[in-house]
Amino acid sequence: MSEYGMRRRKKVCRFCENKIDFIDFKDERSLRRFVTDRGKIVPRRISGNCARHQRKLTTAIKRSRHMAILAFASESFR
Amino acid sequence: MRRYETTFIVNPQADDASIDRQVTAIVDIIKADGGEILRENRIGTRRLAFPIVGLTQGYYTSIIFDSEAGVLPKLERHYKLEEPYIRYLTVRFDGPIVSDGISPFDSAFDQVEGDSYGDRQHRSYGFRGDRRHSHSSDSGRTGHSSPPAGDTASPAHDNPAGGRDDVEEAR
Repeated sequence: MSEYGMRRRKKVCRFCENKIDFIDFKDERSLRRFVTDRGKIVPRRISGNCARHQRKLTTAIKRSRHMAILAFASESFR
Repeated sequence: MRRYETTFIVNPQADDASIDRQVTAIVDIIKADGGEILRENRIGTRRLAFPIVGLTQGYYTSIIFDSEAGVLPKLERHYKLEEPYIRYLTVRFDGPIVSDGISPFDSAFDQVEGDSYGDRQHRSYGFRGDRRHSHSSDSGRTGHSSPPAGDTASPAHDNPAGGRDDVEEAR
């Protein structure tokens, strides 16, 4: 990184990178890494997801909240 | 004909027979309408992320099926009228149908990488506290004192000079 004199590395969408095109709302472990400790969805700016996958991810997270797989808010703050 | 997935949660404290009845009731509705069951997955009892009607656990079932859209209101009606369904969700399904052996709560990333969040956690930031202090004072950024935990991913968003960060990271 510093060798090239760049301050920030370009983030790559992790769904594109791994060729994951279907985001299952039941896949708790995958979704977990895109929400904060408090249960908020991590913004694209931080996670580096592309718009397309962030959109799908958001839908999946919201679905999984409805199905009580992910929390709406973190337990400690409820 | 479209592919749908319907997932629902029933009370796990009910006896096995009545849980079974509640699941087969849904299957029957789909079949009665000419739908084809592609996969019936009884995920089983799982902790709920938050209590619903006083329950902390739920029995999850997911059914993937091909059907005309006409079943959906029938399913909906059944879910609403029958007491034991504590949550339900029917959505268009466009994913791959995984074999029954794999738990749907497994991570899609498991096959391709470890459990860490990208490569960010492995990075060393050096003397961040020190740098941040001088940084904010002379680039004129105000009101930007978020705690270190939340800020790890966005080092120096708008540093006009840009020089100091390079030096710091080269160490």
